[in-house]
Amino acid sequence: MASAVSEPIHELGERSLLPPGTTFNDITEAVCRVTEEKAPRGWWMLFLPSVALLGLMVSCIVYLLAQGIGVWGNNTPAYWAWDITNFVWWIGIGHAGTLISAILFLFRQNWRTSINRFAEAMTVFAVLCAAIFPALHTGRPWFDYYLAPLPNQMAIWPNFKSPLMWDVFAVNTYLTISVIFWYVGLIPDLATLRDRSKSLRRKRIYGALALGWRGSHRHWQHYERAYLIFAAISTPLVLSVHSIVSFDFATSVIPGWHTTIFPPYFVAGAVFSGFALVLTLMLIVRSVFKMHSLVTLKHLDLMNKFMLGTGIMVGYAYAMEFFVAWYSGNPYESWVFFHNRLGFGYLDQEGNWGPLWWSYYAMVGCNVIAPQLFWFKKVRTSIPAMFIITIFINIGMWFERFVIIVTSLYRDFLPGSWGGFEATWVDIALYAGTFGLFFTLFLLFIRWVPMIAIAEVKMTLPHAHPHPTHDDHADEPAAGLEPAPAE
Amino acid sequence: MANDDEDTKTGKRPSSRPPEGDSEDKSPSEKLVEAATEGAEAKTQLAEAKAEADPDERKAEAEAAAEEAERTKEDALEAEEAAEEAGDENTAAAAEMTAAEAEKTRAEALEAAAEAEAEIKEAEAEAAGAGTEEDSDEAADTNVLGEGVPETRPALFLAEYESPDDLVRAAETVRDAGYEKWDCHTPYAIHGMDDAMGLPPTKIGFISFICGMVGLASAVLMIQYMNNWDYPLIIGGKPPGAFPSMVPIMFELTVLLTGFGTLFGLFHLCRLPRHHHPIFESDRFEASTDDRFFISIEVEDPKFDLGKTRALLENTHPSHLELVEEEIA
Repeated sequence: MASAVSEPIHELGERSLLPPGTTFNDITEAVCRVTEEKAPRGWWMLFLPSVALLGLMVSCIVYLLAQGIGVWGNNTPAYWAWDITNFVWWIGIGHAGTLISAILFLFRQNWRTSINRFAEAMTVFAVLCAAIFPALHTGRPWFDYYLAPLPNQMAIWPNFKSPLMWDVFAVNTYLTISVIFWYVGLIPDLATLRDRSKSLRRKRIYGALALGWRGSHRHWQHYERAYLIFAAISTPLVLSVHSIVSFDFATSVIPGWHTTIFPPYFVAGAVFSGFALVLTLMLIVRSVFKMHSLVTLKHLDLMNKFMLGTGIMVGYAYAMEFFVAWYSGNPYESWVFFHNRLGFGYLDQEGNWGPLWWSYYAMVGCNVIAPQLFWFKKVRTSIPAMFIITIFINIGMWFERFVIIVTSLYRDFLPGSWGGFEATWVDIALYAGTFGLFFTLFLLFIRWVPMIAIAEVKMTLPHAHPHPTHDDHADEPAAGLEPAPAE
Repeated sequence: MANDDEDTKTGKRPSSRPPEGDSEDKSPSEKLVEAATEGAEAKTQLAEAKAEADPDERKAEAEAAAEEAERTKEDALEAEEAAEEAGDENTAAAAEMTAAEAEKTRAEALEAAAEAEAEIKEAEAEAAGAGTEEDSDEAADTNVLGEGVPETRPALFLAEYESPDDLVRAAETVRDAGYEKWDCHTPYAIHGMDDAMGLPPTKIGFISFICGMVGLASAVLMIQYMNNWDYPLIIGGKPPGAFPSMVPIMFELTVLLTGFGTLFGLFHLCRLPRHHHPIFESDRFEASTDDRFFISIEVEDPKFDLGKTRALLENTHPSHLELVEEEIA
C-alpha cells in the first residue's frame, strides 16, 4: 500500500501491470472465487499427498523422540548435518516473502502486489518448518523452554554472548513479525470475503477475523502508515535474521565457517532460494487456479531477473571464499576449500579426493550455472524453462548449506579425528515430511484466504486514484471517467 | 459448575439444576422431589408468560419456561432410572408421571413462544408497510416525528459514488461544510483523501517509536541483569556486560516491540475490533469492499440535520443516497 504508488512512465515504455480495462470488481472476483468455489481437482491432487507427507513427518518425530537423535546420521565429527542444513534452508526460503512484502514495498515496486500475500504466507510456513529442526536437535525437546531467558537449576541465566541465543531471539521475532505483518495486510481482504459471504458461517468466521473493518479512510490513514512501519522494521529484520543465522557459523573457529563474508552471503542466498520457491509454487498455483490475468508473464520475468541478480551475488561469494582461502595462506582454510570441497586441490595421504566433493559441484552447477540461462529473455518468459531452473536452484541452495556445514566439519584439523557422514532414512524422511507440513498449510491457505492482496492490486489500476487536472493515460478505461449519474 | 454450586448453596436459584456430582449421593425419592419442584416452577413461569402483554417479552418468558420444563423432564427421567435401579417401583412410576407432565408443559410453552413470534413478525410487517424499501429513509423521517412505532432511529447518511474522482470531490464539499463525524469508505486507500477530508497526520508512528524504545531498553536491562548483575558470566574472556554481544538482541527486541506497538496502536487508533456498527445495516454498503465508494455522515455530528445534510449530499451527485437506521438498544 504505497502512499505514493507511482504510475507507469509511458515515456520509458512502461505499461500498466494488469490488462487495460480491468475493473475493481474483476480483481475481487478473480481472487475471491478461489475461496468460494469447490476446490479444483488439481488442489486435491496436491493436498492428499501433502497430508500423507505430513503424516510421515509426525511418524518420524515420534520415532525420533522414542529412540533419541541417534537415528540421525550426525555423529563425530559431523555434529551438525541435515538438521541444521534443513533449518537454514527453510529459514532462507522464508526470506523472499519478507523481501517481497517489505523491501520491494519500500522501493515502490508495484508489481509485488500480485505476489506478496502469497510470499508472506510462504514465509510464515517456512519458518514453522525451520523451527522443527533445532527444536529436535536439542535432543530432548521437552526441555526446549531452557532456550527462553530462564535461570537453570544452578541459578545461571542463558549466555547472551552466544550466537545460538541470538538465533533464538532472531527466529522468534521473525516469526512473530511475519505473522503480524501478514495478518494486518489481510484485514481489508478478509472484510471483502465477509461482505461477499452467502452462508452465515462464512460471514461469522471472516467477519470475526476482519475485526469489523469498514474501509473507513480514517482507518486507512493509520493503516497505511502502520504498513509502512512494518515494512521499515521488517527490512532490517530480514537482513538481521540470516546474518544472525550465519553468526552461528562465522563466530566459530572452524575453517570454512570462520569468515566475515557470511552475513551478506547468507542473506543473498536466502533471497535467491526464496524467490526460487515462490516462483515454483506460483507457477503451480497460477495454472491450477487460472490466475493468469493477475500474475502475468511480466511478473514472472521480473522475478527471474531477481534470481539472476542474486545468483550472481552468490556466485561471487563462492569465488571470494576461494580467493581468501588461497590468499590468506592458512593451510587449514585451504584444505577445507581445496580438498573437502573442490576435491582435487589437496589430496589426502592415500591420494584421494575429498569424499564429498560432488556436493560442491552440485551446488555450483545449480546455483551459479543454471540461473545464467536467465540472461535470455526467451528463457525468462518460458514457463517450463523457469520451472525447471527454479527446481534446480532449490536443490542447489540446499546443497550450499550442506556443503558449508558438513564439508567443513568432517575433515578438519587432525586427520586422526576425521570422519564421514551418511544420511539415514530418518534424515531423509523427516526432511521430506516437512514438505508435507509446508504444503498442507500452504494449500489450506490458498483455499481459504485471499491469496492475492485484493486491496493492494486495486491500487495499481490506472483509474484507482483521482486525476484532478487532466487525463493523459491512453490505457485508462472509459468507465472510470464517466460522471456518476445523479440519484 | 462452580457457579451452580455456589448458587445452590446460597439458595439464590432454588429451581436451578443441582450439580451433577451431588445428584449421585441423593436417594431416588429426593431426586423426584427436586424434579417435581422444578416442574411446578415451569408451570408458574408458563402461566406468567401467557399473562404478558408485550409479544417480545412473552416469547422470551415462554422460551425460558420451555427450558425449565426440559430440565424437569431430564431430572425426572434420571430419578426414574435411579429408582428402578434401587428397586423402588412406586417412586419410579411417580417419576415417570412427572416426566410426562413436564413434556406437556414444554410443548405448551413452545406453542406460546411460537405464537408470540408470529405476533412480532406481523407487527414488523406493518411497520415496513408504511414505506416501500426504497423509501426507507422517508419512513425514518416519520419515525422522528413521532408517528408509527419508533423501533429504529436514524444513524447516518450513506452516499454512494461510482468512482474515486467523484468521492474526492464530494469529500471536499463535506469537509468545507464543516462536518466532523463523517467518513469515507473505500475498497482501498485512495491518495489525496487525507487532504480532501482535512485529516491531521496520524500519530501511529509516535506509538511505534515509544514501544521500540521500550524494547531496546528492556533488552539492555534484561541482558545486564541476567549476565552482569544477578549472575556475572565471563565467556571468552570478555567482561560480563560487554556491549558488542548485546547488539543483536537489542535490535531484535526493538523490532519485536515496535511491531506489537504498531499492531495494537493501529487497533487503538481505529477502535478496532468493532463488529457492530450501524453502517453495516445498509445492504449496499457491502460493495464498499469491492468497487464502490461511500461517504457517511453520522447523526452525532453537531451540524447534522436531516434536511440540510441530505441536500448537501444530494448536491455532490451520489449514485445512491440513503439514511441508515440502527435499532434502538
